[in-house]
Amino acid sequence: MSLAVQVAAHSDMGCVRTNNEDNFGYDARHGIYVVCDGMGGAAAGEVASKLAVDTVLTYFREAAKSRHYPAVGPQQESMSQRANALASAIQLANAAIFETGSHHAAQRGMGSTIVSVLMQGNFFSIGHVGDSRIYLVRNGELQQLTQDHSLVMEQVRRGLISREEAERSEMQNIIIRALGSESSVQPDVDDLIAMPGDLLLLASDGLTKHVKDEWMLGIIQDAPTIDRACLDLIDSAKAHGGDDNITCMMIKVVEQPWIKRLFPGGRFKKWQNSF
Amino acid sequence: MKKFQFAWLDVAIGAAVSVAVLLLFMFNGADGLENKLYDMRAKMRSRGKAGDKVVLVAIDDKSQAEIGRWPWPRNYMAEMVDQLTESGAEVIGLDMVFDKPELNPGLDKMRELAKSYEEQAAGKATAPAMQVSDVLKKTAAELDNDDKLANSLAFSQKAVLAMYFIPGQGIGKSGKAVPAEVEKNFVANVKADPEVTPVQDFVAPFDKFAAAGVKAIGTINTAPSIDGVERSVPLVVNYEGRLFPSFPLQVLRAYYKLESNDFRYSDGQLVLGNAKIPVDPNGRMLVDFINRETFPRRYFSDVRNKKVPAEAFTGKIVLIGMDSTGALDQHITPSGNNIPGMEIHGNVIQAILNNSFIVRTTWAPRAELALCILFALFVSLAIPHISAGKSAIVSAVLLASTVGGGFYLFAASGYWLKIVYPSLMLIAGYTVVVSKRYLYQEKRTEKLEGESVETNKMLGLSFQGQGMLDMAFEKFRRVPIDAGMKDTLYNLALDFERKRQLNKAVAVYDHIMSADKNFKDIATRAEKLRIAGETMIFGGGLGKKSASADSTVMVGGGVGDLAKPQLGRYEVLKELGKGAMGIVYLGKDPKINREVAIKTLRFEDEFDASDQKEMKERFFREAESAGRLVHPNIVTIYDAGEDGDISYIAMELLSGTDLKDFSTKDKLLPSNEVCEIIAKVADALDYAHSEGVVHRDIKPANIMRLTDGRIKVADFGIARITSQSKTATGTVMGTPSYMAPEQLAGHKVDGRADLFSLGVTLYELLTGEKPFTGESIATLMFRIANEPHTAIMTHRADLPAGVQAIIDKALQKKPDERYARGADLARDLRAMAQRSMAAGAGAGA
Repeated sequence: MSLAVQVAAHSDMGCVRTNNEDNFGYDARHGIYVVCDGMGGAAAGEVASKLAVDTVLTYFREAAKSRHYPAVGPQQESMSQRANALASAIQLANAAIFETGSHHAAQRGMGSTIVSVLMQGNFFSIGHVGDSRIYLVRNGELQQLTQDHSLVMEQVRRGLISREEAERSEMQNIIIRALGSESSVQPDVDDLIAMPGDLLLLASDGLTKHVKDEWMLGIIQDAPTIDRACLDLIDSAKAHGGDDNITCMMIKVVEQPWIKRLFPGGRFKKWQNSF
Repeated sequence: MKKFQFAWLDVAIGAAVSVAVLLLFMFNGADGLENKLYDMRAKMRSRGKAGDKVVLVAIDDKSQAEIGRWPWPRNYMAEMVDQLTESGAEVIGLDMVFDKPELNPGLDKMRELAKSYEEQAAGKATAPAMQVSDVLKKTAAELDNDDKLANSLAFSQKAVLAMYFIPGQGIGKSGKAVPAEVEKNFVANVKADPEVTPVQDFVAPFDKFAAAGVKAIGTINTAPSIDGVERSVPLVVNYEGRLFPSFPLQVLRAYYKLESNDFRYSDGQLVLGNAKIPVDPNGRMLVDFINRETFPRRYFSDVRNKKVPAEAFTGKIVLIGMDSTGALDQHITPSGNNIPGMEIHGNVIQAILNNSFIVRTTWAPRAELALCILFALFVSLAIPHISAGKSAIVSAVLLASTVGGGFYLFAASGYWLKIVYPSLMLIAGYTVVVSKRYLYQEKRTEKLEGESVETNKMLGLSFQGQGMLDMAFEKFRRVPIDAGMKDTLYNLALDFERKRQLNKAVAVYDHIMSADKNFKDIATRAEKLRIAGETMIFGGGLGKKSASADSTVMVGGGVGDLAKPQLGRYEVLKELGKGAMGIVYLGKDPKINREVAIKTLRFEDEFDASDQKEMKERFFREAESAGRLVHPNIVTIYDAGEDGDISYIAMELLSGTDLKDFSTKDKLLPSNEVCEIIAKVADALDYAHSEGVVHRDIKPANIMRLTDGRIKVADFGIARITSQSKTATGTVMGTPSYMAPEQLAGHKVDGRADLFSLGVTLYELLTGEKPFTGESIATLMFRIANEPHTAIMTHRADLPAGVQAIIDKALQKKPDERYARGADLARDLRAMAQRSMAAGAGAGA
């Protein structure tokens, strides 16, 4: 069985903000998909998220040239090489943001969240830092693959507050792990198996804090294409507040018919850098 | 920067290997290997040497074929001794043990017959029986070869016989009496070291020979190494506390006509006459072998058949011994296999005669230990901390010099150093430590600190992609320059060129050239840039804050033949100074030959790419509106444009200073003059505001006082763009001391904000103090927005009375409560100045 992916992504400034600190990018040739949500005063958030996306893409493009994934930061032996590569790329992005921040006073303290997916054959790895999320829609069920590195979610995990309280909390914006805040970061990575029909949703918190999981599944299932689904999700988030930038990337895993394997190419864009 | 990290694990492994090799060294664990190396060296040393004093007479296969199978009747040997004695041989060594009478059944039978005849004759005493008995006796005597040999030996007086001691340490004394002939050979003057090879029994020549007046009797004992190779020969053996010399030593003693008590023994030396022979504690001498082929040897049968001229033996030491296949007396030595015992003895004799020894000096073990420890330190401390390639080179050099040195010392001087242990230390240490590094690196889990080459390369690419070229170069610098890297660097240099950061582009080219001078066209490119960089003053990072960029200076002279640098249509003549936005140049409009001041601004360094376009548009919009202003108190703007990445404004060239110089307490201008200046500025502002242009950044630094006393307001509209951008990026904003509250709040401003700023300026120029101060920008902003200013009279009481009212009105928080127009302020100021002058005049009168 050979799997192929379709991808769609959109980013929206939202209803309140005047700039977009979110960013995304992907390169289907290397199977890497990234969404980042930058933060930091002035324009630094945009710089950070863009840097993160570009650095991760650069990592995989360079690795493809040298046919070897350089290890950056601690590697987890229990994880696949793929997951460690993703972790390395995230570490690299962290280093890039951190060093830029320490070189340019204006950008000191800038940071970014990151959610990323690395697809290879029938497997994929996910990696994330911060409060952006990855969801998996499989067999009509929506499943959140990531655990937010946010203060409230940590509180929920520790049983200090309930999930409902968390949604009302004023400290929703506080994230406890981010790219660029320290010289190294520990990304959460995981290895998963891809199934035909799987839908992966990479989203910034602008989407997830306004669109409840149940609605999300409905919107996705109702949309004719993943491109439409992305736009609908964003519209829904805007309808329910939209006080933050909203970014949403969807990856659809499809079985590749033999003819496609013979004649690759198609109407889907193969890659897109950060914007 | 890469920090020095002590590689504990590698060091521990290196140390473990070192200890293992040191243990091997202490317990001679690798002597087998060392022996092989010894043999190689010995063979090397034996090359080209030939014996000259010793001649071997070999009882070999050929002789046996001609004479008959060994053993031969001993009269053959007797005849040989006679013949050699006649030939003038100096010493004749019989390298075989005649411990029993010859087995001669015929002779025995004859003796029996003779005896029985004698007995018969004794009874009857008949003549025929007596005769028969006599004949038999006579024949028996003729047939007694032992007698013949004994006679020959006695006649010769030059023979040395061999004996054999049975090795091993007896529990007690054997009680076997040593025959007197053997006894007299023992080395009386040498103390029997208990370490000397002990023997427990002996096989001596049988008494007829021993007593025949032979010169000496020596032992032919051997001492093979553990691998069976005989590298050394015991020169003495220890029989019950007495030392007996070996056969070759006895031959030499006979040769030198010395007595058995002429031996001395001291400090690992056996002294015979004047020959000092180095021996080990066991009394063994390492034999310096002579190339086998060149050792002179004759065949017994040839000698017997007189085929060898007598002169071949004259004055020589002749050894007679077995050299046939299947003979027991065959040995393995470093010089070859199947070496007959007599050849070993010949080698010993030759070596002592030539004074050519292989020595294991007393300092040898110490030197080996020192070398081992030195290499142990290298293995455990140095190898873990230098790269595999470097340590390979160093290890190889050390190994080569150790082995080479060992071989050289051996071949040239006969010094034997055990080179195997230091070599092992190096090889094992290097192999283990380096392979550990490679094996372990595969699954290394520790942090790499983002310092690995590839990380740097990718970070650099990432930075380059973001236009952060300086950071990219910084990362690339840490990457070794390989083929791919050259291209990457080349692209970076081109990027620098595009940004007109020529000196940085040159630095990148230089970096590439450090690896490859002829890469693409970098040499010509760099050269071109260098020339350009000297003339193009806007070479490096305009508006950048880095030190390197600020050091850009114009070189005026010597470039006449080159095109003058241009900015738009202006020729750039020299740098005037640095403004808030960028460098200010003195330029010339070649068409109308007018000198102008050119203010430059690099947007790329100041703004993010996304903002650049917008900011540029705004810059030109502002410049355009400011360009419309024509007023005697406003600096005239001629032109604005962009050239490459640099945007510029050409304006009236003025000489003078700005009022910042007069805003400190000790340099204040007279208050009347201040009022007049501010009034003029207020007039200018009034005009500008009526044209719809707001300055936005009125402060002493933007008001020029020319050398002829005129007052000019500079940087209409433009100054704020840069400051704003800097506010946004938070770098150089300085303090917003002059800003109106509504400006601070980010609201749309009109001319009244300028009047607020002018009020602050007036306040400062009169008192040297600012009306609002704060420890931080935040407090300052809060105070400007919310708190009343300090009354001006508290700073300076001698000011004209009306000033406080004017200031208070100008500094109102709400724009509506301030002067509505600049002209109003100017009028009030002038009126007050006149009043105070009148008052002053009145007071004077």
